[in-house]
Amino acid sequence: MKTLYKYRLKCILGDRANMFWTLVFPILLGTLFYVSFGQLLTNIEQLEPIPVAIVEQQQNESFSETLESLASGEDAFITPQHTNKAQALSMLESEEVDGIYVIDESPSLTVKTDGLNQSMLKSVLDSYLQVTATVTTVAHKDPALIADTVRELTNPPQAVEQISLSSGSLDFMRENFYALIAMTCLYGSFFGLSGAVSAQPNLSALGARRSIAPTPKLTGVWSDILAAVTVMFGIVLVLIAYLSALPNIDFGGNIPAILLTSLCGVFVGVMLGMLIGVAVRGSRGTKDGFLISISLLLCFFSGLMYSNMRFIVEKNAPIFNRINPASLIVDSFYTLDAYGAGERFWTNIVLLAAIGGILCAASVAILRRKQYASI
Amino acid sequence: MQTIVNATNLVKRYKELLALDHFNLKIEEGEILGLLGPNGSGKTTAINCLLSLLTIDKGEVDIFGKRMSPTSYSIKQEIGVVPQQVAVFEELTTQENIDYFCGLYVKDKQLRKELVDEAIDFVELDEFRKFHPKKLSGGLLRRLNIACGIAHKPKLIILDEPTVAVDPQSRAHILDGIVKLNEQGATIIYTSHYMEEVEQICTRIVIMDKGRCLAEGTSEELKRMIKAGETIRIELPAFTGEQMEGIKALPHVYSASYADGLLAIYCEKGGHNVLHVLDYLQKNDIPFGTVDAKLPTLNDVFLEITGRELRDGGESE
Repeated sequence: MKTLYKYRLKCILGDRANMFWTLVFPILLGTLFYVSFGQLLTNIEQLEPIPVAIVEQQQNESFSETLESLASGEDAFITPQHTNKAQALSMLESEEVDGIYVIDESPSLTVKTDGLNQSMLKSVLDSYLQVTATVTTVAHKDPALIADTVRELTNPPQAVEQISLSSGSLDFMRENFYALIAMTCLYGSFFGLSGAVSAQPNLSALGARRSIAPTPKLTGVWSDILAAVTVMFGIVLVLIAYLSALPNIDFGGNIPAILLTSLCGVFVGVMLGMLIGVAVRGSRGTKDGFLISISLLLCFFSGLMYSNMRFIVEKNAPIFNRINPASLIVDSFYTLDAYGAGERFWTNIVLLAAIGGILCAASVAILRRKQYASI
Repeated sequence: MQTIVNATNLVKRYKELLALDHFNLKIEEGEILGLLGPNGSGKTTAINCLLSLLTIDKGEVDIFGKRMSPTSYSIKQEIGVVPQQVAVFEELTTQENIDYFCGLYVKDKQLRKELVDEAIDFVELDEFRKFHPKKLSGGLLRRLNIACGIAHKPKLIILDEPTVAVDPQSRAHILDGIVKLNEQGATIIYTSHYMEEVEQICTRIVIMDKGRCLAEGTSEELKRMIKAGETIRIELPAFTGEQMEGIKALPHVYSASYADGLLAIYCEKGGHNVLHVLDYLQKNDIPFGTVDAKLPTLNDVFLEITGRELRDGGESE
């Protein structure tokens, strides 16, 4: 078995097409994710103060003070330029400013185009108007409550308290990277399928040659599985190492748990390919097509293409997230990062191991019983 | 002498197609048995049934005196198979491929190393040890395919059309190698639709068609079974019906045909057939070109039994 394992390893490592899709492609995709999301984060993190013209037509002390507070300090939100209306319009036209605040009894905002800065300026004005309207209403009805109202508006009570259960932090970008790792784990199915094909005489000349040898079929199959899991485990670790090396990406410090998740994920991936290879009828092409469809579907529901998908499934059909290996892998990484290796993490690992075990048992049972009416 | 293979009444159906029709085969130790038949005649199916790669609908297969089944590992240990299609790993080198397949039979690493070296020497691939299959020519690839099947020194070697698409030099090399393996003690089953190859190396021949064994014996025995003794072909620019009747009336001639300027005369066994024909042409002042006379071939045997040429039929089985 050692010899078969050794040569199977060489075969898998020498299979350039599969190595591209399992190693190079996820790294490229990860880089693409990072470039896209990383740019977005950089934009948010490096927010510049918004240039804005201020035209004071009538005295409004509270709005003037509000604008002043927004323009002061190191993290100033706006860069105000006090001017007259004509000059302000000219500046807006030439895009020197993104908007014009007119200080009046009823303050207003003038913008030229739509955009993030314009939306934020509008949001400031809307908040101001909402607060003043509330205070005015309270003042008319019960002036004694004004002090409490102002306190509550400026320091709203928190319905939810944010606490960190682990050293890590979480953001939406990581969800995509977890889904990418899950996809890579499931891509181990390519090697599983390849092993199944080379074990069956009706699918390949190699299968026929192996079937007439005195080595039991399962010995060859086990060496194939072991070699595939070894290579895929290595590939997933390379991917995780690569992603971890990117700025702002952190998988947390629980290395054994990360390794365990990866190993279980890879095992499920390889066994999924093996089962499709032995159970689905048809040519190699049919099996390949079926395998790619299944893998992508599972990855889709785990949030690879749309990061909220896993939560939508959780809300509407939570059982599917418990049996979808891609979702279990994503959730394991998510749980590790957010809560550490607690009960939810171990539940995921047990479910993954159980799915892998079922796929393995089914593949072996089918392969052992299989007889060939034609080859 | 031990009976190596004894297959009786094998029936194999592919839906409506009867691939093996009560096929019988008995092979004695030390034989090179040629399984001869056109493409689609059932040769490969017969081999696959012998090896238990395929389920059989009826019949029994005994090899080395034991009943063959998919899990008859002790029997399989003594069998080497060279499949029709080259079956090697593209990612492994010549030496690694042979080592892999030898490893399915031989666990001892040192012994295996010796066997692999011997196999490489045997097929003369020493200078290609480190080559990957895609770097090998068709002939070298066939030799690698053979080496993978015989490295473990089996007692029974089954070669399924090992010379398909091989250049004449490699073909001669392969055929010499098969004879050498036989001399070293291996019993050989050799399937082919090339009658010349079968005639050249086989000690006994089974002619099969449509899943049935049509005839068996040595090459000479098979030829003696048929009526044809000699076929004479003569280029004639013109030939009349009256002249044809004259030819057919000659001694030993049992049939004749004329088409595209070529007269074919089929004679029964007997002497001086060419002389009789030439004498007739001369006496009747019939101008002629090239004259070609051939003793019967296995193709003639097949033609007489089935009414078809041996090389008719589909491309694959």
